[in-house]
Amino acid sequence: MTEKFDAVVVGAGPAGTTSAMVMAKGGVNVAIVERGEFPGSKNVIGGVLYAHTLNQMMPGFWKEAPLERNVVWHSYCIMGRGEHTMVGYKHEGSADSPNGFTVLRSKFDRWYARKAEEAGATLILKTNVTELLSSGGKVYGVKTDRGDLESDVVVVSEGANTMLCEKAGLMGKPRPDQMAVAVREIVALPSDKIQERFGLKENEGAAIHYLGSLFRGLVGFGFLYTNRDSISVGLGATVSSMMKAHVRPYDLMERFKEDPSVEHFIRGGLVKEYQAHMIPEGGYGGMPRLYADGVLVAGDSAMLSNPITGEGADLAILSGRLAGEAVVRARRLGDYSTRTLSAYGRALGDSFALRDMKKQAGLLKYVEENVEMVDAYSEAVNAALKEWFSVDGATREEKARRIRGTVISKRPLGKVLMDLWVIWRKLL
Amino acid sequence: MRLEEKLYLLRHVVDEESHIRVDQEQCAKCVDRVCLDICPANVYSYSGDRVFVAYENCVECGTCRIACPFIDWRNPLGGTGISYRFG
Repeated sequence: MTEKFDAVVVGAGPAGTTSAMVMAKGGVNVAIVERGEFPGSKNVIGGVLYAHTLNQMMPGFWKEAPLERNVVWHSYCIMGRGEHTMVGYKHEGSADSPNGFTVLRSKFDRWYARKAEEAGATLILKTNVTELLSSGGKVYGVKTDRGDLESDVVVVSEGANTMLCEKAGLMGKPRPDQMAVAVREIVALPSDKIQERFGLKENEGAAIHYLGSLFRGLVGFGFLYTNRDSISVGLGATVSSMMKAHVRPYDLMERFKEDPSVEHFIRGGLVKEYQAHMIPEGGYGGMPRLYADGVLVAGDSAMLSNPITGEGADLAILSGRLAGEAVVRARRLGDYSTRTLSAYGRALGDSFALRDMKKQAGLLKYVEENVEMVDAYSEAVNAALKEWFSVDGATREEKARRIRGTVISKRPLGKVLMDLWVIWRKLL
Repeated sequence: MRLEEKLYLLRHVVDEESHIRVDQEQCAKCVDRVCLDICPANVYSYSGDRVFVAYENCVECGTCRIACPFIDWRNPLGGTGISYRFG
């Protein structure tokens, strides 16, 4: 069986589905090939889908999309041993300009793919793309386990574990320090109990990121996100740091869930599902070639993720849109060469996403090489606040002196200055 | 909660053929045995010098493929493998 489309998209996640939607609306005959039983069946999101890029595609999407909660409380928790510090920002949720939502991908991706179908895209399920068809360096379709599909152009958006990019020579196999492994559990709790525990109104959600002692030696963090009637709780760390530490992800998960800073939020909840996924963390330096003759790469496959903010799905949507627009233009010109498709690379390069990634290049490597600093700062913060809040007969002046001493004892001043300089240069 | 209990919650459509191949010769020589630690679904186990691959428990994260150069991991056949209900 050989069928011919203008374009074939590999994977019905946010990147692929967005690109197909844009193409279908632009008159491109496009097929999305998804290996799962349904879109989203193999996908896991950390937690928050930031609204900005999807709102550009579908203004006011939250009125009809299957979302969990509008995140109004973003917080960091710095874990210590039997103590923790929480810093967060909470606001009165605005229904008209939400910042981000918790979502469950098995619901969201399915709905989103249906939107692409309504726009005219063909969705082919339960079909695995095994390689790209190419001749003389030009990609002309995909080989699947159910036959070949020919097309003028292919969008590779198959997710973090992107073997197609490797096979096509668009990138080498990622190194263990360029990928993170994450595990997550869905813990069911009644919605009113979630609202009570987190101090939320109906439809409002919380996002908490955990750093500190539990992750000693790891370039990783934990997370907790409120869904409608469940909590997503989990953690992730670079594969290399997990290998070095010889930690089993599920053992770490149990310790995480038992920590008092997490336990009181999920207490009494019933675990409904355990999940694992990789997160691309190779950053700018780890990205594949984004385009070549007859092929474009988008989403996690393009290593588009931001470990600082937890962005990923929104960047997938952005890249999918830009890839789709590049294909619509290519079809109008009747030319799918590298030269024409390079418009995608330029558009993505001009976006906030890639400018951030460019600036942050090397930050994670620095953290991995100086991984002891995460623990040092976590200890320092907890020790400083403990000192500050305790009343023990010492004057405030004396306490301030003790706090300075504690901080300096955790990490030498020279290194502190170096860390600050790197953070300043890479983030601000 | 034990991992076995967590894995029991998952829905898989199992293919008859494994999508994971290992190089037993390399496995026998391996000192690190990183697959034992890194796999979130405990797919790999050693019995003496031989590795056993419980591919039907695989959740398709692909981490083993990144951690070990001798694991030949492919996507399972379309429509088979893990199917999350709350992904």
